Amino acid sequence: MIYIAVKTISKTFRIPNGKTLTIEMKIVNCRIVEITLSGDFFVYPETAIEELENLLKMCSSIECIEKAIDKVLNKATPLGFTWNDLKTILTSLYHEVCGMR
Amino acid sequence: MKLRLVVDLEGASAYKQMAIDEAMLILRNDGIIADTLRIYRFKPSAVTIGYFQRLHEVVNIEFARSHGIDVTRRFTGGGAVYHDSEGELTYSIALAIYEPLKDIQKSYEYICRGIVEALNVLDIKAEFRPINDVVVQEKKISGSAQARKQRALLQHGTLMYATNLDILAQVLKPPKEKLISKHIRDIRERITTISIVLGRSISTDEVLKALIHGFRKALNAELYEDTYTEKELRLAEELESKYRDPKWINRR
Repeated sequence: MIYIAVKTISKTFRIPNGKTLTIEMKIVNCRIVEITLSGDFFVYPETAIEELENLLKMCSSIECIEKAIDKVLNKATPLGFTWNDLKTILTSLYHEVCGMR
Repeated sequence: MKLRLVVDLEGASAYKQMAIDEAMLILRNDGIIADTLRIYRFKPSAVTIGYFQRLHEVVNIEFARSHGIDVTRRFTGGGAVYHDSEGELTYSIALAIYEPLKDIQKSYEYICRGIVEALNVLDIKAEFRPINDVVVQEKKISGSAQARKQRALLQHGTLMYATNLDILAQVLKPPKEKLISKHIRDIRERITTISIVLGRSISTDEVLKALIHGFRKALNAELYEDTYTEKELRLAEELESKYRDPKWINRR
């Protein structure tokens, strides 16, 4: 028998002096298969968030999550959160579900 | 600077208004229209949500439907906004990106000075509150959102003068995390209108004049009145279907 662990997380964060950021993630066997970042923040250009979501899909480690964010941080400017805020939030959420990988 | 002024108080649907704003950004970026300030209102009343928001999380969809309130998604980020047809004027400004506008956060403040000055005209002391609000007595009276292309930006925002705050509180669903962070229980504790501040009703015309004066002063602009160009109207007509499309409205 193959055991498949599926976990769906939805959490909202209010960034101090910033905006609201909601992360919705579906993780299957510690691999991110779906992820949506939503909220009242701004990102310039807006398309960077979709690009980031695509990079995060299939990540199965904290290193992969950090690398995905590193790939967009020089191309896009957020207002209402920082890329470091997002790194901390995503890695801690992933850590909650899968431990340190 | 010279600034083209288009006043459109007849009112149009949120779908059309968003389409005109996006058309202005595209055409300003392409150098086809001049720097432009547009002042308009929504008819019927509407809710616009930010580019990154999820509709069902921030809007009471049933309430909007049953009260004839249009709902669409903006091409700009930020939060959900209730645009009261009889109580709010909206501005949009399309500008070429030159020095004071290159820094994104500073450009919000630079443009929002138009709202601050407009309120000063009405003897209301207002201040810009980062990231994108103008507040009076610690309450929000105006919010703005901006989109950028390579050579131009478009910022649009509200000025609430008689917005029905009971309807606003019912149609918008602010995340509880946002209310907690602002130490409030009800969205009405955080927002105000010109009428509430002044303790009297105020006409649309008075607010319009204040807005025009405010932007003229803040941007040190020489304004000249104009109407929509053929190209603006044609491109807006093409874009309008996007803002009506449930796929766009529900895209996140």
